[in-house]
Amino acid sequence: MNAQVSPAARRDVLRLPLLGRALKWRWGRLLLQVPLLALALLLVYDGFTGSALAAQNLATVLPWVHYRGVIVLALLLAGNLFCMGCPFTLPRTLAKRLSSRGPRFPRLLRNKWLALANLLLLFFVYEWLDLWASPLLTAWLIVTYFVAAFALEALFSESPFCKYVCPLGTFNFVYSALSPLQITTRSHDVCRTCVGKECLNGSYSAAPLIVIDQIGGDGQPTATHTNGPRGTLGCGTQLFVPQIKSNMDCIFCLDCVRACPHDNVALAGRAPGAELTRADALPKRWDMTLLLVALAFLGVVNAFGMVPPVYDLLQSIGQPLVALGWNAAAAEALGLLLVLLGGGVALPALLTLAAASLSRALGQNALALRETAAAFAPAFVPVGLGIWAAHYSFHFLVGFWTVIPVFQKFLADHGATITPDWSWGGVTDMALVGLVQGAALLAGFAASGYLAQRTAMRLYRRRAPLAMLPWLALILLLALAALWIFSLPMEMRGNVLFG
Amino acid sequence: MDKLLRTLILLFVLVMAACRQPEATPTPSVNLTLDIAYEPAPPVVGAVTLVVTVLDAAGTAVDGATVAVRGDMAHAGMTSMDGQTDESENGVYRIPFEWTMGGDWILTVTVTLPDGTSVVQAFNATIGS
Repeated sequence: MNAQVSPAARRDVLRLPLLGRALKWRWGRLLLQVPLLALALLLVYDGFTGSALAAQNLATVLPWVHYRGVIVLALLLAGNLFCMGCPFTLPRTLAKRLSSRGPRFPRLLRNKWLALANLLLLFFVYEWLDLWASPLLTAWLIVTYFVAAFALEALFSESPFCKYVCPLGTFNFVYSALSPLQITTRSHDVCRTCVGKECLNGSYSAAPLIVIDQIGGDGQPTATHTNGPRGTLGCGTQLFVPQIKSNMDCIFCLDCVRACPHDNVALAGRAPGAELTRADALPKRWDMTLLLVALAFLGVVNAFGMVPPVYDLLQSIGQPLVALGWNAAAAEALGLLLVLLGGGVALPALLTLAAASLSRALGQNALALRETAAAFAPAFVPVGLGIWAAHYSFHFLVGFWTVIPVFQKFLADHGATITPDWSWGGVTDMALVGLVQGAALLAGFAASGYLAQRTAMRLYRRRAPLAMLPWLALILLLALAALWIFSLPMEMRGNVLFG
Repeated sequence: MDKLLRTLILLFVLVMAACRQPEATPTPSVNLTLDIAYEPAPPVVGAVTLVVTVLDAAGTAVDGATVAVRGDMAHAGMTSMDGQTDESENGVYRIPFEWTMGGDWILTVTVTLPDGTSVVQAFNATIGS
């Protein structure tokens, strides 16, 4: 077949000598998943049986200090590597084999509303139950993930857990927009004549596969393909490779690569954030728009949860309720809910609507409100990641080496003759940490401003300078709010209200 | 869902039900009352003196013990702080310490008596920034 290879596919990671083969190998994903599964089981074990002190337990140190820092780095340097190695999806195959092929996920839930709600739920539980201070509850959270992934895979035919439910995956989907890698076709021509669409459907053929478009003039196949006796899974999140325009919903499992009988799927290099400049990369739906904008706002709200003003705010909400006879925990829950829903949903929704309305008026463009908001929403991705990166880099840098004594303690608790060296810490130069945080914020702000300007130019031409002002103001507001929060002394309190 | 799936779920539930964190370090039979105070108070980030008072069951001051304090932040990933002294006056042990960050701290105080027996007690402290 002499189909022309697209320029993007010429930077195909899968063509690299060793790495490419390992990634395309039938069990290639397991190379990442098995170590991460072992790690997850270790965390659950230590969470249930180890020290109740968060600073001395792997279940709290690794997820809340290291995982979050590594995930941002991985997204920026490569792609959605956590979803690729996600141990929670290991039950997928098991569930698929144990259950009969069930129905698709309910149509009503096939959007990002549930994912957004789960993100809020995770943030709420994280703050309310002080997950960062509780190895036991963190272990239960990991268990809950395994159970939820298994149950949803067993009940439904696709992979609804990854696409519609998982808050971690949702975070990764949004910010993998800035990743330098993306699944694409090597040649669109090949897909045009493909009959089986194995990248989507999978192949369960035990016999060598003969592809219709690879039958020669003599009626004999020019090539045959073997998928193994148990076949190959197609895309679990129902993405069809020739139509993929972004990293949204792509878990980097590479099942499409393995399933394609034409070897026509590439994991191609691209400019980071390339999809954010494309008008057609993401669906123009309210759920998607709000997700992109709200996640940036939630970055601010999440960081706000660790500085002194939030404690005053929670006190002012909670104390009158307690005076009215409310239970302290319930009062704190309500306070946190108000902060989360107000700052993470209501505020971004209202400000997005306001900015879109203003933008339409200033730009004198007939584009609908929904489409205007959807066009500018991707501009919030860089500033959002900048805010998250600034927050996570603090914990990551300050606690970088703390995993060493914690692991030493784990070994000592299990019979090893080793004394934990608790002097291991991390970066102690707060000026350096502040510099990293500032750089992340500035880079995010600059990239978001650029995207807003580009979108305005595309939509409004000569009136772009005016029409982009509301969006630039909103992005600036976010960046300044984050800067203010990070300039405050960070406090790590648990039950902030009532001890 | 077949029998194997139900068995797996049942096994999982049983295993999870069997898991629990260990009890706190058992305190030996020696009966001491520990109390802790901070100078300056209320505690804020920076240098501090931990004032640990050790009394026996009769309320008599206990001197001659070694008092060690380990401070961990409630949040994972922060370096712990340590302090120790064996000097006391009327059962009051003063230990130089440093709060490196505001927030919730857990202080684990270990009092070791001259005969080698020890008492461990944890205290919570919220430090202002």
